[in-house]
Amino acid sequence: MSIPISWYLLVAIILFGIGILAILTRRNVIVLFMGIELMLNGCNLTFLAFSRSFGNSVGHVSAFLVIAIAAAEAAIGLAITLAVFRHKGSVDVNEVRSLRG
Amino acid sequence: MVLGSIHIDTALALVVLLPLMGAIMNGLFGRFFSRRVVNFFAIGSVLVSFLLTIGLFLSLRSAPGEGVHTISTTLFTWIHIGSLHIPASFQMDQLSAVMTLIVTGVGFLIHVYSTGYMSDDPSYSRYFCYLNLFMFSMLILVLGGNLAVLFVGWEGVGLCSYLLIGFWFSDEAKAAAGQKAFVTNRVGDLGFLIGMLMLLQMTQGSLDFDAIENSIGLKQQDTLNFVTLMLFVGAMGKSAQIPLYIWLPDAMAGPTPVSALIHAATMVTAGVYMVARLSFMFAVTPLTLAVIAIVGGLTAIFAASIALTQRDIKKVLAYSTVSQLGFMFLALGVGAFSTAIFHLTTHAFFKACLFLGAGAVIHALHGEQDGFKMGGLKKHLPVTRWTFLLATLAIAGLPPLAGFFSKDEILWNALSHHHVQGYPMLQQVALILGMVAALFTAFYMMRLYLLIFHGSYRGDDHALEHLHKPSNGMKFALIILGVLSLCGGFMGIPHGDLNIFAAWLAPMFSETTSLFKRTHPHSVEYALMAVSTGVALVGVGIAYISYKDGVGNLPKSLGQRLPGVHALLLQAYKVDALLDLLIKRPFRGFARFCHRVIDAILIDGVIVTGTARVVAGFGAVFRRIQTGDVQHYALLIVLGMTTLLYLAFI
Repeated sequence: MSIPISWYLLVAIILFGIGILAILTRRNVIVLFMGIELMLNGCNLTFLAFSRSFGNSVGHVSAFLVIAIAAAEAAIGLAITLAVFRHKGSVDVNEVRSLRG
Repeated sequence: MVLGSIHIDTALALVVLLPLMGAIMNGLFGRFFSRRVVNFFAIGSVLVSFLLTIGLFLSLRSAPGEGVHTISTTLFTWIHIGSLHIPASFQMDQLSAVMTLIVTGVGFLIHVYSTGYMSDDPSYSRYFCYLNLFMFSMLILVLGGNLAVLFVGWEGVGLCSYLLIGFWFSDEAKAAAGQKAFVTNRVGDLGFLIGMLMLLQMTQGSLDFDAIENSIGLKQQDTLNFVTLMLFVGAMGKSAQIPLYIWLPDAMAGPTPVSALIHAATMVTAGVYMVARLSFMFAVTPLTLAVIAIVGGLTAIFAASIALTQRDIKKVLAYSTVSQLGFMFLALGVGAFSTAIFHLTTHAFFKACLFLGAGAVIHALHGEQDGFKMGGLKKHLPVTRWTFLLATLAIAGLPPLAGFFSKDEILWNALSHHHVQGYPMLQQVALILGMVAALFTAFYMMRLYLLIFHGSYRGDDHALEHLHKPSNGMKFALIILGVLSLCGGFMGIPHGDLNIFAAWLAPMFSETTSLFKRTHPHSVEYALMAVSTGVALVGVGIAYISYKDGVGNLPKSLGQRLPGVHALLLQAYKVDALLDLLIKRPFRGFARFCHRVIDAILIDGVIVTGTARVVAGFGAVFRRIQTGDVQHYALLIVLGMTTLLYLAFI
């Protein structure tokens, strides 16, 4: 007996929600990145669940794509974070407000 | 072929294009040329043009058969859009041949004269550039193969007139006179344009004279009346008729040869030429003809009465020109088209001669223009004096000079030439207007002559001691024009075979003759001749008694007894003041309103600054959203996304 798709989706939503909460509430940029990774993986989980349930591999392809992009995004994001840290001496997002209108 | 190896079409194109070449050479390179080279291009081009015109004229004359003979050439297709087809074409027939001979002939003489008159001017080459450009435009006007090409010339001469009136533009009054001429002409041109566009609609896209002629039978009388009236408004502007004559007296601000060429002999007669050119259309609109006759007659008498008291000799001649143009329109209005052209021709001779004579006097006295400060110059300027006298007697209408024949023919036609659907009393009114104007003309011209040349000198002695003698070129032009004033009328001796001028033009107006009738026998014409000669003699006689030794007792006592009338005439019926009150001030007021209210408040304040303020205001509100805090943005994204999903699925 297989696990029904709704369970997978529930886990995915929980992951996604934790990610959003992390992004909205935490101040540390590194933790924000973790939140983003959680959201991305929540999405991946949905892709894979649907892929499995529909019996084709389009979802797998999408998931690989997301992983690849997530890797690139993390690399660039960490590089920016590093640059910000060198400049400001902090990785607190509240300190970085130079685009204020 | 008279013209030898040159093809006749090429010759026609060259007649027009040579002056353009002269203008381009002197306009672009004139400042590097010596005066001799400037003269070569300016006068040479006009002279060759004149000689070619004579050749074309002779070949037209030797063309076999009766009827309209035409030489035509098309340079290129100017406009071709859908059914609208307008070629840049020139054509010469009997009518335009006469005009071209006048324009190039008189134009050549005035170019020669100008070399003497303008010899001290620093802008010598600019002057001749404009003058050649004028010749080019005027030739386009008279040789244009269709109404659109004619209109190009029409606007071109207007431009050149503006440039030459304001030639000494550093003098503000002269620059303003140029503007006045241009703006007044624009008013007339608007009428011309409306008429032309309506014709375009009538003919379904062609402005060839033949096409217009063929289409008039299809149209309602009201449309035709409107079109011809609009075209006449154009003629009013260009040919200085009431109420658009106001620019011509001010146009005397230009150099005197310009006044002679543009504002007496050629450009101002463009309206007369245009009406004659479209005679087939005007002939079927008796209403317009009546309007033309009345406007012409009123202009003749009105302008002549102003000329009676003017002191500035050029002003006298300017009002005289307006008056004589009125005579021409009077002739057109009674359907005597070839007579109008005849008077145009003789007027070109004697009025050019008068202006050039006046120019010689002004030149001699270092710019003095007040006739009351002249006198006794006959000893000092014999050539000028004799030619001026000839032209004066010619314009006064004394036999056998040029003006006698043409003026008499106009009066005779005013009395007896009648449209078959004419208006009652029109003839009598026209004749009376013409007669009184002729009386005034004889008086004021003789007065002018006597003031300048007879009596004792009343001006500044210094000017007399350093009198500028006219140059040989000036004398040459004066003598030729004097001789033409003397014998120019013999080509229009009334009756039968002797009237070679009317016979030459007859084919041009052959279709209109059936629309007119003669109401008096020819014997009346001889009586009329005697009367008009008598009238001229009375005018000349009164002037002689009053002015033979300066200003005599008669005009002085008259001026004292009727000071109101005298002042009114001297100030040209205060028309300028009236215009100032009725047109200039309201316009200035309107312009001020536009400037201070519409421009400063509405456009600058509301539209320009207002737009910026609104944008800035919105910006001030919405910039608060841009906190720079990443987490705010993220929150907004989440809220937005949630809202969208909510709307999409629930």
